[in-house]
Amino acid sequence: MLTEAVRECAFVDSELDHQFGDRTAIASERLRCHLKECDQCRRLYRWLLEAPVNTNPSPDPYRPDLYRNIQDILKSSARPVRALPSFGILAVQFWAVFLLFAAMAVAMTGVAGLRQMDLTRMFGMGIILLLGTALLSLSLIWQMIPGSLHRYPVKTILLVLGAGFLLGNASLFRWHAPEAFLARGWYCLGTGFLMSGAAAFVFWVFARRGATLGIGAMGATLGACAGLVSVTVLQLACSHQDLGHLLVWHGAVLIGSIISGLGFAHALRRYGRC
Amino acid sequence: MVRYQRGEVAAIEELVQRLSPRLLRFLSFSGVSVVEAEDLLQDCWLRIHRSRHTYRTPEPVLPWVFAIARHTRLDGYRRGRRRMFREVLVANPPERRADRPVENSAGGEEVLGLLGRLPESQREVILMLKVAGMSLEEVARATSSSVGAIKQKAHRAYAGLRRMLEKKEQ
Repeated sequence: MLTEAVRECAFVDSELDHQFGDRTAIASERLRCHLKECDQCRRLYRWLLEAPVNTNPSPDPYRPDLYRNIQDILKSSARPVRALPSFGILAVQFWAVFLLFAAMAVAMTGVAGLRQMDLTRMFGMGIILLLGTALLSLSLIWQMIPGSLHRYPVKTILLVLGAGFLLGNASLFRWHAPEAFLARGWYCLGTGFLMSGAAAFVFWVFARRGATLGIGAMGATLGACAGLVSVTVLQLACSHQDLGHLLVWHGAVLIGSIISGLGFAHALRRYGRC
Repeated sequence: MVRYQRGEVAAIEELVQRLSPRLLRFLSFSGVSVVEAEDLLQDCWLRIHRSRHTYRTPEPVLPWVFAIARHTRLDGYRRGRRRMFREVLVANPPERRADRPVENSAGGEEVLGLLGRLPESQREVILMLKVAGMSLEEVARATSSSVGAIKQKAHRAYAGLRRMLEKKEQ
């Protein structure tokens, strides 16, 4: 009996979902029967859907001139603005920035790594890096535009990116006995972070055209974009294509960039104007 | 909104007049004082004004506005907490609270009062559904979340409110 009552209450929840999706939807017979029997559901349902909301323009108990003051402030700086371009154009612009930066960096560092890779590795890593970039571009543009429907949360995107990088490297590259592991690693780490810093600035210039609301998520995403472009360049430029080197040093560039972005955003929120 | 982006003064007046009551209601439901709620509303409108170029025509206005309002509220809460740790209160002047119930229907005040006991993320969803009159998808847009996550939060909130109503009865 109790289980049935709980099931019926859960049915009210799904009916509420339906009615919040379509405010003109009519309550079903089953719902009306349950509302007659269950006092809590009846009160909840009535309050959520039937009780009027006070949206009276009179701002009692607030200052009577509150809205007027706001209007005056906004009117004093009212001038035409150009709306952001469409999602597709923003995505193309992001890819252009990403590829241009990567191409310039590769022109400086060379393509020694590309010569070391066979076709399978080239194709596999290419797919992983392209998918990662596509996911990050979506996330960045969603964050730039308030009210966008985020189909994948930022945390999920970053986790997928990290897992893809880890699994892709683990399945495509083999482990060799480390040779000058630290010396070669430091070089890649230093170069990677240097590129990452510059890339983060470029992506920040791109992202600031929008309105950043969640500064922490934006910091982590910008860090991930910068880290990914650095990893892409390192993948093409670094001649040490063994699993240990790629996971530890190239992986550190990616993860370090995300953490740095997050930390920078946190510091900005704590001590800056944000 | 498009007229607002074009810089039309009449559009500003209309938008402020139409959206402010809902925004004020949403911003004030965190136990803030009347003065703080007024400051939050002003701050929210300044942010809306600065970000007005990010609104695009076919998209719904409410999620865009409430996404900004939500962050204004969160930042206000963070600022309040920081201030609380830094400042030493020498006196506690009696302050008017902003979150007094205003529903007129029977039982409305009661449920509204219980809403304050829900976790912030659930309360926010219910406030947007109820006060702003938004759909589940619009709430998902405003909270940078998915529709599934919003449904889950709403269901938890309903269950919580039912439990509280039941306890109150007993």
